[in-house]
Amino acid sequence: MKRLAIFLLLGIFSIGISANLKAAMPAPKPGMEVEVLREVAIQEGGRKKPFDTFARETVRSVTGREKFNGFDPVELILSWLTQTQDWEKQPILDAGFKPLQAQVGLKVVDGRIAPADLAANQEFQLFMQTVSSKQQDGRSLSEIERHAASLMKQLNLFYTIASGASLTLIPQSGGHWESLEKLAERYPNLSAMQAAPTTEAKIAAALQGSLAAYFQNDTALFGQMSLMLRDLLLEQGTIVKDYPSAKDLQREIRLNRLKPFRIAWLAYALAFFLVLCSLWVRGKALYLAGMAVLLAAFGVHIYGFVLRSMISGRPPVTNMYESVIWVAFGIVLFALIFEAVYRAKIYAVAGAALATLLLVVADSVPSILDPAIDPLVPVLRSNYWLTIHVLTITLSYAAFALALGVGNVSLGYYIFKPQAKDRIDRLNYFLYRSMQVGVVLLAAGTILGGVWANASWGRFWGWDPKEVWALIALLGYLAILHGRYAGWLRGFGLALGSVVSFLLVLMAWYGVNFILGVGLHSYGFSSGGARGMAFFVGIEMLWVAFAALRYKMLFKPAAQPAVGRAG
Amino acid sequence: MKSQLYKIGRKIFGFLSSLKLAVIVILSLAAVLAAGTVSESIYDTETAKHYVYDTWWFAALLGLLAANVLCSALSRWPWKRHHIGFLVTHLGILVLLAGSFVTLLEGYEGQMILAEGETGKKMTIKEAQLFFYDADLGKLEQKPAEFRFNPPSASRPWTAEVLSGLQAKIDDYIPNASEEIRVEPDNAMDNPALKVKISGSRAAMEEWLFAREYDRQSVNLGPATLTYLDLPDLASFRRMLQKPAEFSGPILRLDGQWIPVQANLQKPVATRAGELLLQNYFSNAMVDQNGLRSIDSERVNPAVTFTIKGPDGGERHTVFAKFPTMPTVHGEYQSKIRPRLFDIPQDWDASRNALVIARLENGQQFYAIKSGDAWGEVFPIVSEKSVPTGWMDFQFSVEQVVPQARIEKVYRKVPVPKGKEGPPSAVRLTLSLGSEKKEFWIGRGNSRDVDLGGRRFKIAYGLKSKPIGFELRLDDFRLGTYEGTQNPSSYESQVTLIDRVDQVQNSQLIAMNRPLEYGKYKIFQASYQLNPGGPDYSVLAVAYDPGIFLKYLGSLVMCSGIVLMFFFKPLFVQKRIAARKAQASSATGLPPEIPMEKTP
Repeated sequence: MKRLAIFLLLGIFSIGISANLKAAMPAPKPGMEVEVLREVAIQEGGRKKPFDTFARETVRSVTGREKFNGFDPVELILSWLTQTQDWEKQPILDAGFKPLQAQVGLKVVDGRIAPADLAANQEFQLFMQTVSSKQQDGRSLSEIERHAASLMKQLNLFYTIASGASLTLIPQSGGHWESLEKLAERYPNLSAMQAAPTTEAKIAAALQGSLAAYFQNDTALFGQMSLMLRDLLLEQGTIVKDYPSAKDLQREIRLNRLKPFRIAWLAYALAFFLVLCSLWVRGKALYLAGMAVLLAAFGVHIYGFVLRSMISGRPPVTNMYESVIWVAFGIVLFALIFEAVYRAKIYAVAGAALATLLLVVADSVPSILDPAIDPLVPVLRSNYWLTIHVLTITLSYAAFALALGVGNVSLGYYIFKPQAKDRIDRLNYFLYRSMQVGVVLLAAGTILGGVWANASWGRFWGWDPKEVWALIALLGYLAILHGRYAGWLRGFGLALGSVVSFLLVLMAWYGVNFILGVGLHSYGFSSGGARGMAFFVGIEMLWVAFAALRYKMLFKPAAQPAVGRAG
Repeated sequence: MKSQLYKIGRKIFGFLSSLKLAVIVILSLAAVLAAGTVSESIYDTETAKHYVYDTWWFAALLGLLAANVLCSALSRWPWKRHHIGFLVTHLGILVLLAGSFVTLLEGYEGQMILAEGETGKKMTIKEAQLFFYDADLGKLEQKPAEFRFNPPSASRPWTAEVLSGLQAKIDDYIPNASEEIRVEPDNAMDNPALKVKISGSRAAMEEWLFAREYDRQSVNLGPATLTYLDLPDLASFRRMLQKPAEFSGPILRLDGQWIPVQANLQKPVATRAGELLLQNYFSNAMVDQNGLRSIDSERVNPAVTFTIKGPDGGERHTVFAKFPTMPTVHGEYQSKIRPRLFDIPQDWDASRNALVIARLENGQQFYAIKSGDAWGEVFPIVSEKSVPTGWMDFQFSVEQVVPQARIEKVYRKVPVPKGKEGPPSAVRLTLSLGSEKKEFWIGRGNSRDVDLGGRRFKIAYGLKSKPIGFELRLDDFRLGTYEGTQNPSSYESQVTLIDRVDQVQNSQLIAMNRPLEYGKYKIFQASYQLNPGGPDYSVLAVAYDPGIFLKYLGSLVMCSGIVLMFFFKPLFVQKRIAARKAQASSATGLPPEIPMEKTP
């Protein structure tokens, strides 16, 4: 019922509610200038953010993508607000999970369902009852139940946007900002606004003005009204002394717009291609061009998370999304350092390839790797420890990833060009160096984790799965280094080991949080992505098995010492 | 013979220092740890600890690792310059393992749960224990009683002999037991009980109340607070309703006069019977060899001692609230005064809606209802008659009255979802002394008096506790939330630290990532429980870790060793490199600074 409040409000500007019962999806209105509204602050998810961020996150949650039906996210929110009745009959909720469709009989069009249809689906509501009771008991959900819960969340989000209940735009003293819905209740009509012409009343008027202008497709009035609205909100924010600066808001909008990590991976991909080609082309030009692009990509990459750090006020390694980006950074950093020392090209190739892969993953699965900047659980609120423990440990992942990259190239040589002994020896030496860097960082990072744990949980070591898997990964690499020292693992064994033991790193990094899901590092727990991860692991394993077979065929035991670097 | 031994010793040393053993130990350690985390994921942390991390064989594996690390370092004797990185690393590992060993032997950790305003002196350690107390001798014996992974059964009971001759046997165990009470009439008891029912269109509830079981005397049942208590007569009841503030906590009733105990301790008070001097108040009194003492600050068995100087001389009295019919004066002398102690709950009048049922000395029972801040008239209780209360449409009735009640606890197994903490365990205990035998269930956190073979025992089943040597008072617990949400952003406990030995008293803040260090302990903010309308609870973790210095030192040494070994090796092996430069670098195309790890 409350969601009608806005419509009642609109009524005072004597707008007829469009009784569009035919299934026509509202379209973007050309000439509507929503730039001003982007910079309006909203208090949501435990922090203040620009409306631009809020709109992007919300539209992404509800529809599964940031740009829906050609709408700018900000305009889409306005459209939902003013044309709820049209929208709720449109298939907009992302309901692509087939087993759930079958389970409760959803009316799905192209993997989407209309909010009104979903709300009216008795079977779904019944199913949700068991899901929410399970959630309350803290029991784990099945995959179907997880998807049902997330669909329910999308539905609620759509309706709380449409009702204005989740649009907490109006600054209040005392911490909790007020929603549009509440404001509409307090100022149900013009006389209520005129009775007490406070800033809030003016905000209510400007808000209704801009919504009405949007609805009536009056672009000039909408421009005026939204400007007025922004200034009034700022005024109100100044009154209650709680409003982010325009600089902060614009910085975040810049991050949203620029998508630096997307630019970075495009450039990394180009750098990869250029340096790879330079392996076969004479002259330095191609190599230098590739390195220049790599450096430029690295610059954009750094700029991206400097922005992100400034916005969140903490080092950008507090969730899976950020750690993937950070590891990609580490990989390129080490690749550049090694490249500077050895001029090996292969570091640049492997580094650029891995960075591209990681950033593509981070950019493409927002439902699993959520890019939203969310508040931290209390135990993580220590920039000091976050910086020294988490950055160290994730840098070690980067070094091992680089070893994995070089190891894969080395395996490729074993398979396709086994006669290039010098080259292979060099590669194996390079991956050995990367492993050493990784071992130092992982050992130090694990211990620093213990020191932090001693300061926050009261014990240095408690056999928590995250700690234990970091240790297992370390042990894995130590076994390889000892095996190499003993002479059991020659070149090929080392390359093989660098690939296989990276699976331990993946377990420590991804597996503990996404597969095991137990222990004290529960703030990083999530689900999903198992299929993609299994695919990656499967491909690597096949590749390794193929390489091992080929190696066995090529180098009979007698010939073996010829390949391993006689040390 | 000697050379034979030497040979064997050499062989063992050779094996212990071998690289082969190193790799085997490293890989098996990794495999065991992986299995440990998987078992933690499938079952829970306790299971993983019990079957992997806390086992003798896991300790043995770590011991083997230490032996291997040590022997491999010794086997390089005489040490050369290029061994430095390797030796430092291995020394670090040994020191780290030694630190862990010290922690394992000497360290412990526990919890302290404090309500705001409460002072704690002890930490509880998560190890269940059975306490056997001989009330006549004042002797206490404790036995470890963790049964989760080896539950006692009829065929494999747990047995112990305690307190010279008392045989204890446990033959059944419930890991997570819900506790219900059953009330049975028992002529030997002096414990009035009644069952009240509150019913309305929305809900109906039943609850037992006990006038002299202070933890079951009052209950908060949705709409209101219900209290059942002893009072001398109807006039007192009316006065209590008129002046609620005066009737809270222990009050001595002497010759028709009400004397609050706490306010008048150690002060002479003039009464009609003579001059009264209240000496001591015990919240949980117990008689031992040295006379009366209080076991703890729980309100379980309140008692008061006083002297009174009348015209006929002085008298010394001990009065128990729970046992109003017991003679109160010492010796055979028959006193003229009949003092009684009433311990009235603090919050009987605290909420807007309340009900009080008073049991008078003559056995009659009356009730009064408070609805929206005002107390109504006093009426006699009529069993099973529903009375409107004025709290919405709720009615109240007394379903059953048992003037002499015995509480039996019934335990039932409850399923606990994974990752949740269920209710505590319960055991079936059989005690026998000579030919006499008693069998009962007891849940963790409970105690019970047992008379057997003419001796008086007190049996308790609870967690081990340890005094920390100082006191902590929780002054305030604060939960910070992120703006516009209920998500916690910080937990903080404002405490006062009191050390009576060293005369320390100061205010301290304990927060996440900000522990308090005092004495040998470190105290951390672990968790909390908000309690709307009452004091909040803060859960503090208390840890003593004497190995921490060694662990930090070992870690530092180990990491420096690795760095030395990996990145500064050229400093130590320049000679060898130089010698090899010509043959190696030209042959392989490797950069000249590559260290050669292994000499063929």
